[in-house]
Amino acid sequence: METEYSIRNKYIKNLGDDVHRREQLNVLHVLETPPSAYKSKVTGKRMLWYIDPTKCTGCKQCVAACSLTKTMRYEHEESRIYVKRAESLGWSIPLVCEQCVSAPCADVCPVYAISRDVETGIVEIDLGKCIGCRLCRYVCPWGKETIRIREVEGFHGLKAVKCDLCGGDPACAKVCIAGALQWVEFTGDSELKRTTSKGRARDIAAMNVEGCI
Amino acid sequence: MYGWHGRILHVDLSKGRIWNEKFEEDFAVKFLGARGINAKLLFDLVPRPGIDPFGPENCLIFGVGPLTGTNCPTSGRSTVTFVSPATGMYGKANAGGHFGGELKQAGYDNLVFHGISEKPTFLWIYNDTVELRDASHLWGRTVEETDTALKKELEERDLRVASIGPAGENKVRFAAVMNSCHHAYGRGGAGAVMGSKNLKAIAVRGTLGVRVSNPEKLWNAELQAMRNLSKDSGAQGLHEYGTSVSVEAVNELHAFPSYNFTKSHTENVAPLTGQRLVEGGYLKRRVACYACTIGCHRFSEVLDGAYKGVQSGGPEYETFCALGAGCGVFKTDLAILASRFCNDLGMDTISAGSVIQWAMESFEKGVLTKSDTDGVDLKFGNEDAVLQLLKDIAYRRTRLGDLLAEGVSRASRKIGKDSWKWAVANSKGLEQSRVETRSAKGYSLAFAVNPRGPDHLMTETFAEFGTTPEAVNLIERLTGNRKMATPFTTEYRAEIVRWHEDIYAASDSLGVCAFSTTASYALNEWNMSEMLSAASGIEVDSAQLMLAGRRIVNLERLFNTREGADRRLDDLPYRLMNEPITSGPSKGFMNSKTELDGMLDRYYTLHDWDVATGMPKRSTVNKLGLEAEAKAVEQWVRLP
Repeated sequence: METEYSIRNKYIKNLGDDVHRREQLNVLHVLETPPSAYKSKVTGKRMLWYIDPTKCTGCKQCVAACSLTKTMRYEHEESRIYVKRAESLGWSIPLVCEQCVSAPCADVCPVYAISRDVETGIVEIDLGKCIGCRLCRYVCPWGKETIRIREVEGFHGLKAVKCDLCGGDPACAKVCIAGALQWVEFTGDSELKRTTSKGRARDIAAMNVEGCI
Repeated sequence: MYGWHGRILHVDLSKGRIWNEKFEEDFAVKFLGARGINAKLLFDLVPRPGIDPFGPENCLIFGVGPLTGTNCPTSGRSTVTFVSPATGMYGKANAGGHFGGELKQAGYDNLVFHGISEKPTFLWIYNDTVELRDASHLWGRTVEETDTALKKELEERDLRVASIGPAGENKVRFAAVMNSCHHAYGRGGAGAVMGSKNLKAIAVRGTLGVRVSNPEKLWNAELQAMRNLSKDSGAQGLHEYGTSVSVEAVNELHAFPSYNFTKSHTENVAPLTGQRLVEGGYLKRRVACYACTIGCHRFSEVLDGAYKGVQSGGPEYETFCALGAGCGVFKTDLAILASRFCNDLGMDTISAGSVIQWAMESFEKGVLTKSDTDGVDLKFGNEDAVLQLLKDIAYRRTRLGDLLAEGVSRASRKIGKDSWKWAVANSKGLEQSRVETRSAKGYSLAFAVNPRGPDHLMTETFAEFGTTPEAVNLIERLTGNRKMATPFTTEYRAEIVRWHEDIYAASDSLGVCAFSTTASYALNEWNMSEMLSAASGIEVDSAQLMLAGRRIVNLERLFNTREGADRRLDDLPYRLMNEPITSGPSKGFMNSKTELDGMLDRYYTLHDWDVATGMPKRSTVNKLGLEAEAKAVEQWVRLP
């Protein structure tokens, strides 16, 4: 039987392994885990990501928008959203923190810095506790690029930073004209969401086999 | 400095020396960026006319604009500038893809290559760490192989590569530099220049970012521009069906040239349309360049035949026309395959199609015989011959391939026997893009005065067709008469062309795509200057922006003047001047010397250039702040 503890051990055991194994594990995890909805404190509306990777054109508008929102500069490395592209295959997929229901990043955090805000549903990192160990980065089902390790003003040392949904109004969704990233109201049709998640997981797995590296 | 980095990276391939050069704000505002600064650098670095384009004196200059790297929609265009091996004059090619955006992130505005490397080499840029590395193991490989190999070798998934294929290595005069696998700096032979420098590829990874002066103002302007663009029907069509969305409509106007411009209408054009790509299931993916919210690039797959399953970027409108209809082959599969070959071998599809059509017509007219073609029956419609020739040209393998690799102008001069009459290239020597100019007078003037040769992507006067209310409004603004929105008249064409020249130069220099400025009008001089001001923190109004555009046009003209170009080179291909359209609503239309001369007179007068010689007047360029450049030109040519 898998307990929280055994899952955590499994992740840790796999750390440091090559990229492929890690991502295989992630894919399995994704298939089991439905993402959760965000509940606005102001309007009370429940919102969630509707991500259709087949519509993604790979333009990186979301990346630029995120970096501008977070740093007031266009520094793509600071972006909390990542567009994985395989140019020779014409593939691209937007990857962003999905605030997973059973969040592996929270599971593996050795200092219990990652927790869910019960009111809004956002998975938050307590920067005061974070020690910048990168474990969360390695176990994230959506790839390590969705969590950045940075020096943050007001804190000492390296910290993990990730998507905070811009407080309930993500900038990246505003600039996705192609409709790959949509921030939609949750209407109970979670099956739709799960299907796309599975599809995306398969896409990522396929890209790792055939893709650039 | 905001918007720009103010940094030019110089690489001397002969000595293996790498250094940075800084530029100041006033220089940046004067020449804007990408195309403008590139033109200025080329003008200064190539100090005398008549250099060998394949020699060490030629420079290969990449440039990105001040808006590239931001959220400004369609701002991922970058420019490469060089002395063209096709024309021996000013050469410039512009491409989308993700290379420009990454170069900007790495902290450079421009990248200049001097000299010639002794052995094959590639440049690896990781922010401030720049090094030349051995590329012997990459030499001879195709573009896609090079891209994959570099990503593996440098262990960077997000690497962006601009490289040449075998065509560039073999100095085919219309070889392209390809970036992000399928985006070509196509026209003018940039790839051949890169090949002559023994430079196989440039690999860039950037993490430094771009600083902007007023992020909030810029963000709002960008969102507004994106909204405009998403509402625009032209942009929607481009996203849905790609650049070949209009093939059917253009064919109905009898302006879709086939069989080397002898026919303007094709009965069954359906296989060569963007609609067929989608409906036939050929289209696998819609792809966008950096920061582009249109996404007109295609990614398609061959569904049938020996090459089943082969995938590639494209084909675009020009590929369909040049390697499909032009060669008399009306098969979607073949167009995709030809596009794939050109991408992988690194060739400009327009010129490649153009030389093959010329060879086919020469064969049918008996100028080329079976002994020239090694026994191949090179008739129009021979699809295997098209694919075989593409390879032969890129590798300069057979005698015919070697001949065609020189481009139609040189090839027809070598073959003789009137074959220049059906070589669709003008006196500058570049193959004309597959656009019908006989029934579009604005286009014919724009093609004639284009500094790099007859081509639609330096000044495309699409508005003259008046297909949308915005286009008609624009024509009214430029000419004061709504009725002038017709392509059949020569009146006011000079005004229309000159405005388009300015906006093209400005948008190319900012890094913005022409599809959002003159094919859809979502971005105009006002919101471009607003975004530039917000990004750079320097107030630049629309008039200043357009003036900078004109300064760049004049600078390019000065460059060609120094090379000895004058009014005589502002002409059109013989076929389009002397053979009328044979069918359709514009039957009997052609360009005549009187018509063109009339338009040219007006055009030179508007520019305040000398009407007799077509050279810029000294007073004109001085007014634009190009005194030093005028002086440099006067060492060789007396300006009027």
